[in-house]
Amino acid sequence: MESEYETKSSLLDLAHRVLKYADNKAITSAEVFFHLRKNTQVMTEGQSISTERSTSELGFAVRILNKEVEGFSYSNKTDMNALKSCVDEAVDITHVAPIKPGLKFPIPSKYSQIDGRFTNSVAEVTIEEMIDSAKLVLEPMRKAKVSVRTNLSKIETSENAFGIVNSLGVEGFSRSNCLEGNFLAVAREGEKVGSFVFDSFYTHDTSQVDFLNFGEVLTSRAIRNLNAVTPPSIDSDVVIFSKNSVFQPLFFVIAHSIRADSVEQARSMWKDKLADSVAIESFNLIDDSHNPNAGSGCKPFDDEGNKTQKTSIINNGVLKTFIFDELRANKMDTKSTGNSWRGLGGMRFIQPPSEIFPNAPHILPGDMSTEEIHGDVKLGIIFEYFSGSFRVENGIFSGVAKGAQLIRNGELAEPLTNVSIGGNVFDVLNNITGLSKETQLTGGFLTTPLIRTKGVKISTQK
Amino acid sequence: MSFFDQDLLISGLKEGEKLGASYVELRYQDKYLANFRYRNGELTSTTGSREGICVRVLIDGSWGLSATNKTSEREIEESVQSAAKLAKNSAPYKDSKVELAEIEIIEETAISPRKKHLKELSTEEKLKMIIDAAKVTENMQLIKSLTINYNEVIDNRMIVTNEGTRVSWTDMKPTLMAYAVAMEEGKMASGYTSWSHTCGAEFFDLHPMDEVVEESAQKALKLVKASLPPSGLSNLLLDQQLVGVFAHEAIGHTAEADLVQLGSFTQGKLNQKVCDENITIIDSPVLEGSKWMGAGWLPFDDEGVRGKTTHIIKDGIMTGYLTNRALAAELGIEVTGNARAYTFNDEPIVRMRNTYIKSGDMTFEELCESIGNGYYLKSLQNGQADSSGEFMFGAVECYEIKKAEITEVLYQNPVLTGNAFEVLNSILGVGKDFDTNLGAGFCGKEQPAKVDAGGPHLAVKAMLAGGK
Repeated sequence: MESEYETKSSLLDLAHRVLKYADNKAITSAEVFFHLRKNTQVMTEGQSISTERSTSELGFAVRILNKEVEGFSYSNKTDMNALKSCVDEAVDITHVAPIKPGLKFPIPSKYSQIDGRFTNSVAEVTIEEMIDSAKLVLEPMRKAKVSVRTNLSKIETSENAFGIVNSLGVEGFSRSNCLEGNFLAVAREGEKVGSFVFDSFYTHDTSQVDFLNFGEVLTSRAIRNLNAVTPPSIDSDVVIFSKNSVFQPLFFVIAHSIRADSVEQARSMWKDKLADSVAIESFNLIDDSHNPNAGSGCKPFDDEGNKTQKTSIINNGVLKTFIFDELRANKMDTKSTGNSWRGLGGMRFIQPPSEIFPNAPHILPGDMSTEEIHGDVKLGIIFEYFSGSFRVENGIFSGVAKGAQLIRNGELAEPLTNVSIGGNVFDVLNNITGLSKETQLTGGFLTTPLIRTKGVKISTQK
Repeated sequence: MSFFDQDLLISGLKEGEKLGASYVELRYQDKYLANFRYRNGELTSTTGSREGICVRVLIDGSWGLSATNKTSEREIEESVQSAAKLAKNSAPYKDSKVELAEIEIIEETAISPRKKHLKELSTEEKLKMIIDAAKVTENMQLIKSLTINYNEVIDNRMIVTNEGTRVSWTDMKPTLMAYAVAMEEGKMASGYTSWSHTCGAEFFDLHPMDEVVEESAQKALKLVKASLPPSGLSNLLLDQQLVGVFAHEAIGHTAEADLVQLGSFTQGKLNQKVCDENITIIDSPVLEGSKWMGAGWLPFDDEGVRGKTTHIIKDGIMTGYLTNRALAAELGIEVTGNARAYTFNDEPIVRMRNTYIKSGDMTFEELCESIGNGYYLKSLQNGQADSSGEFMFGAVECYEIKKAEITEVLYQNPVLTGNAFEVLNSILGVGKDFDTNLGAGFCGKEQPAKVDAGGPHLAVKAMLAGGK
C-alpha cells in the first residue's frame, strides 16, 4: 500500500521544493536525488522459517555545484527543515572543497520507461506466499539423509523508487520491484563438514522461479561438497568459470579496465587499447541497460540523470568503447554513456555519483552446449566462486577455487576441495576455448555463459 | 543521553505487549558519516546522517521485525503493529519456538573513549590535511595513482526492552586508508596502508596522514620490482595484521553460534582440544592493553546485553562460542553480547568485536629461528574462510627468510591457504609482541560490521597458493 508521501508526484514535489531552496542560494546549480526502498523478507535458519522482516526507508541527497566545486550531503529525515539543512551543509562544503575540472550536471533528456521492471506479479506476492516458497526451498533439505541447513538466507520482495531533479531541468523517476532469493547452505555428516554453498535468484516474474527445484539443486550441491577430495596434483591448465567466479575475478577486472576514470588516470591496462583486440574473437560484452530481463542495474537513467543506453563494449574481441559518467565525458571530450553510480549497493542516496560501472552487463553466449563445454576437456576443473586476491590494475589473481569439481574425459567427476588457481585475467580473455549457449544471471547483476579457458595454474594443497 | 526521546521508544513497548508479545525491543539509531576521498587530484566529500527505529517482537516463540526511518509516536506504533503481525504470521511455521537466555537487565549509557571530539576539527581542516598528504607522492615518478580515503562515523544508539533494559551509547570511529599504484616498464603494483580505531581526533596524531601516504607509496615502489611468490608448503612468519585476520576469519567465524548451528567445524567441539596448546583466541568487547582502542569497541550489543570477553580457544581447548540471546538459550550456553546490527533496518546477528590471538613468549629473532628457511608475510590485502576452517588470506609483501634471517628478496601479493585448525596444530612459535589493526576493512556477513583483530607475530607451516 503506497502512502501519500511515497507517490511519484509527492516525492518529486518535495525534491523540487528542496531544489528551489538550493537554487536560491548563490550557487551555479543544484541536484536533488531520492531513493525509497521497501522490503519484505522471510528469513530461514536451519531448515525452518525464522524472522519475518519489513523495512522501509526514504532518503534524499543534495549535490551543489559552485562553478566546478562540488558539495554533497544526505539525510533520511524527510521534513523540509532537515532537507534545508542538508542543502546548507552541501553549500558549506563548496566553500572549502577544491575544484573538479569538467564537473557539470547533465542536461535534460527524454527517458524511455522500461516496461517489465515493476510488475503486479511481484507487487501482489503475499507474505504467506513467500513463506510457502521458502518452505519449498527447504523441503529437500528436510528430506536429505544428512544434515543440510541454511543460515541468514531469505526470500524477499523489494520495491525501489529513484528520482532526480536538477537546476538544468532534468527530472527523472523510476520505480521497480523484484523477487529475490539468497541462500547459504552447509551439509554436515558426523565430523565431515561441507563448504558454504551459495545460490540466488532474481526475477520480476514470480512464475519463473521453481522454488522446489532451486532447493533441490542447492541441497545436492551442499551434499556433493561433503565428499570433496584433494588430489595430490591436477596436471592441467583448463578451467571453466561458472556462476559467481565469472563476476569475480574476471568481470571485476574488466569493469575496472573499461571505466573512463581508470583510463584517464592511467590505472587501466586497456588505456591504450581502444579498437585493439583484448579477447578472443568470439568474446562480446554489452551493457544492456534497457533489457527488462537483465539484472538489478537495468534503468532508464543513471544516478546523475543521464540517459542510459545499450553499449557494445567488446565486440568480436575488440575493445569498442570505455564507459563514462558526465565528469569523465567532459574531461575526455565525449558523451556520457550513462554509467554513473552512487555506490554499488545499499541505499543509493548516501553517496554522490562518483563511481562508473556497467549497468546491466551481459557477456554474450557462445555456440557450445554445456555438455560440449565439458566434453572437450580431458582433464580440468569447473568451479563456482573464487576466494582469493585479484588486482584490478594488472589482472593477476590467486586463490582458492570453491565449489570445484574435476572434469575427466569430458565428464563431471569428483568434487574438489583445497584446490588453488592462479593466473592473469587479461591472459584468460585471450585463452578462452569455449563459451556456452546457455547464460545465467549471477548475483542478480551479470548475465554470463560458462567460460572455459586454458593457461590457468592449478595447484592442490596436498 | 539526549539524542532521542527515550519515552517515545518506551511507548512502543506498551503497544507490543498489548498485541501479545512476550518480548519487545525498540532500537533507535542515528548514524553520522563523513567521507572524504581523494583520488588523483579529485576530492569527493560526503556528509550525512541516517536515523530510524527497529522494532523486534517475539510472539508465540516467533520473531517479527519492522524498521523505518519515520520516528514519530504514531509511526513507531505502526512499526510495532507491523512487527507483531509478521511474528504472528510466521509462528505456525516454526520448527521450534524461540526462547531467550536470561540476562542482566541494565540501565546504562556509554561514550566511546576519546581525547578530542572528531568534530573539533573542521571539515576544512580535514580536507587540507588530505590535500597536503597527497603532495607526498608528487615527486615519485613511478607512482601513477593515489587514493586517500578518510571517513568518520559517529553512531548514537538507544535500546529499550519490555524487560527493563535501557541502554544508550555514542561511538566514534575514524578510518584512514591510502592506496598507491606504481608502474614501471608495463608492470603495475599497489601499496596499501590503513588504520581504524575507536577514538577521537587524536587519531591524526597517532597516524599522521602524510606518513600513511608515504608508507603506501613506498610499498608500491618496492612491490613493482617484485615478482610473484613461489607456491607450495612453506614455513611462514605472519605479521600481527595477518594473525588478526587469521583469528577473525578462520577461527572466529567458525565459533559464531549461528554458524556452529549451521554445521561449522567447531560444532560439538566445546571442551575438546582443537589446536596447539600455545594458542589462545579471545573476542573482547573492549580491547584493553593495546596501543589503541580497537575499532570493535562495543560495551553493549544491539540486544542491550553487556559485552563479555569470550575465550574462544584457551590453551588449545575450544572453550566458547559467540552468542546472541536466542542461540545462547538454544545451545544452553552463556550470552556473550555479540548481537550486532549495522544500521537501524538490520536485524542483530552474531558478529565478532575485537578478536585476537594471545601473545606467547618468543622474541622476533626466536620466531625467525623457528622458521629457518621460509617467508615473512606482511600487510593484509583480504581474507575469507569457510565453515570447515579452510581459509584464504591475501597478503601484500612476502620477504624470503634464509637461515633465520629476513632477506631483501621481496615477492608481491602472496596468498596463504589451508585449514586453520590444521595450521594451528602445527605452529612453530608464538611471539611475545602484540598489536591490532584490521585496517579500513569491515566484516561482511549479510551486513557490514566494524571489527578489529590482531595478535603477536606467529610462525606457522602453511601453503602459498598460485604464484609462479
